[in-house]
Amino acid sequence: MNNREATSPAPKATKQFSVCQYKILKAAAQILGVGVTTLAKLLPKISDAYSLQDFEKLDAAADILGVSIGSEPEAVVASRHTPPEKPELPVQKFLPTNGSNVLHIPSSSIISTSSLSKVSGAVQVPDAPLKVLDPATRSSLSANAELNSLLEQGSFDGMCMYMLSCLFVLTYIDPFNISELDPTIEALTNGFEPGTATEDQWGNWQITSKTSHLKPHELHPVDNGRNDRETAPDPDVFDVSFFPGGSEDAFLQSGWGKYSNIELGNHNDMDLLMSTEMGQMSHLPSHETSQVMDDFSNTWNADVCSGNTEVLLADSTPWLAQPNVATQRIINLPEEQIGHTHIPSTLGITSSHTRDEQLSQTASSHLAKVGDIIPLPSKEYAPMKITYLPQQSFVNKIKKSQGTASKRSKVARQKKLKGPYLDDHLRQQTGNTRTNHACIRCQAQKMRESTPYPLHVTLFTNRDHLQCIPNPDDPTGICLRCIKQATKTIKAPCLRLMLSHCVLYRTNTTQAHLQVPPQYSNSDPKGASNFPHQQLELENLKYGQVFTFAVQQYPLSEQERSLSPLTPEGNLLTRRPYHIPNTHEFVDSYKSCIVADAAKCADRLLTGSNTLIWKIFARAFKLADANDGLKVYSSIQSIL
Amino acid sequence: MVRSALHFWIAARSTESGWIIRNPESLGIGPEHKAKLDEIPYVEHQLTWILRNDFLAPLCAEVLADIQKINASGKADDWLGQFLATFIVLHNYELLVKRQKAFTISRKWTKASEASIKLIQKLLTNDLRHHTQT
Repeated sequence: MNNREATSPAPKATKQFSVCQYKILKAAAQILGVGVTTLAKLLPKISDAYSLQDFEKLDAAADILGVSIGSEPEAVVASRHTPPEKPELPVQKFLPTNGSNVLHIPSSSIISTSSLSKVSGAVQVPDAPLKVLDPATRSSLSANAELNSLLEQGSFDGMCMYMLSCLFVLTYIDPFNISELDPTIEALTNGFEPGTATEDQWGNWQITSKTSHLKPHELHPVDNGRNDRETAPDPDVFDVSFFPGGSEDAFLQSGWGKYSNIELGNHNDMDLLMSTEMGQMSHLPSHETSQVMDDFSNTWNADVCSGNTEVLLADSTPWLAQPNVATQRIINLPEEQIGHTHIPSTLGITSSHTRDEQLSQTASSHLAKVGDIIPLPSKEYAPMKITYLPQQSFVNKIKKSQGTASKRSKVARQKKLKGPYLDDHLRQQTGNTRTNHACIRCQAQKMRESTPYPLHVTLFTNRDHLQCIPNPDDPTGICLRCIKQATKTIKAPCLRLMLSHCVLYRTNTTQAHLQVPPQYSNSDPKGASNFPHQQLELENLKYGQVFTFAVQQYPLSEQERSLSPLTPEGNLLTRRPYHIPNTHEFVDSYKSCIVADAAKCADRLLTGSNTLIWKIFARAFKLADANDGLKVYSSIQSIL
Repeated sequence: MVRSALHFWIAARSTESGWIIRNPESLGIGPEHKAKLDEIPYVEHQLTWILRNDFLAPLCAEVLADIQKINASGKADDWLGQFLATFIVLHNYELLVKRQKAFTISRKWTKASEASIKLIQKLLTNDLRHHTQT
């Protein structure tokens, strides 16, 4: 070692790693089938980010893949630098060539690329993979031939292995954060940033760079004939003007930035945000919006109301004649806060009324309509006052959108609940969008109400009530807005599905048993009776889960009792009138049976599948649970 | 996340096969009958209903929400758990399709089997728009 160091000059990108980091690096390199130096060049981040836990995870992954990671003693590792390997780094093969312009994505070398394109069907795979520098490591990969055969079959196992390798690449090679590197690698990373993703008829994706000769209009139905792809960048997506303060940092530094902390999926907060004046300001130029925003953020902070609120539910809303749930909000505020409203003059709203007057006005206008109001048992509160109905908020909103300036105060800003749509057309549109779902672009850009959110907030929340203008010929196909955008650079295709829309189990809503008539078709227990509880022990036919739960007879009506068992009405349902009296007990017992019989069930479910899948599930059981999972893990290991 | 995914993986199989009563004598079902759960219709109906709506639906939502949360966060901390959870969910799909295939073969291309073949096609082509409404 020492001789080699003395004789050979140090490599360019030498970087001193600690012991555990070197272990991680070596393990990752061995799994990926890449030399350590190539990986070390691609990983400037590893010195800070990764720890010994990552090594344990890599060990688990190597166990799944059938690769052995030998741990070395510290003295050897400390004395050993990055070994001098051949300098041929096949990075240049990933550069976008002049002819094809197809973006090359690095994939691990253990997967043959010709089979990958069959298997994945999602990303076009490079022609030239990373070359394995050390042939000894390649021969030591026992899973190599097996993997290739799997991938060429195009089976499910191959897809999962592809996913696994992609995960390695994505977690350990982050193309967006590479800096201080050779110009070749920088050129490699530059290829990742721009580019258009297009989807053809069969769902295959093609990622092409910006100077592509593959025209998007060949894949998409409509082209207006204008060729403004290169001249005009897309102003709507990822633009600076997307954030009202001018840039993202300014957006976050101003008072509006606090909305970026909204928890994902918390719809009430988002609705609250949308019901405020934010949505109305999109027509202003940028410097005005920033001014307005500063003013507004100041007032917003002062507006935070610490009063006790309580919501009562009434049965109907007579003035809309719809069976929606109307809510009354009863607000008790200390009188010091009342009357100190400050509204920025740029909004064109003046507060002529104090809050007390408004409270009394709204209360008097809606008291008679709703009917009796339940008085709350107030202890130390001041007398309760009804401020508004939620429908009134919607009326205000519509009035304002029509141009008649409605007087809005602090009270109006606190409204969270949305009322029903008064306009029938709007209501129908919303219903259609809820059934067909809005596409990602329309969700992100807020077709109906444009509000400045950060993109990551808008992308991963359910906002189906936003309008996605459907194509009249194909309502569930590509929406009109996406067709218009087809001529420009496309960041996202017209997809209407999210991960949470997936259905992972059988959900046929028909009756589960043929002899159960539709009037029985709810799962509620049949009422209390004096019959004793009996234990019923069930065993699954296929998977052998055993669990017990209580079963009780329920009383039959006289008509049912009079039926003879031979008639079709007097079937098994009337002869054996048992039901499950306690659903919670039933669910609990089933949960415990799942945990207890996991080994048996996994054994029967995985028979006939590949050993790789066995290994993955063994690791999953080990990771999932300490006691039961270990039992399953050991049993699976004994089988293997 | 991995734990709930595994539980779901096992529990989703519960609605795909029948059940045998182990103690039929206690309910007055003689040994001359085949001791399947079909003998007690309302209990079977209740069982499938409860398993679907009170157990599988919230568990499924939990698993998907977890995966989506981690995907949206963009962190690579728990990449092994993330991989395992997605693998289990995909394997669950494989088992669903396997079962559906066996069903179509058993029905010998009747009307019901045509519907299931369409479902499989839509599963494979990722066109699930009409099947998301439950």
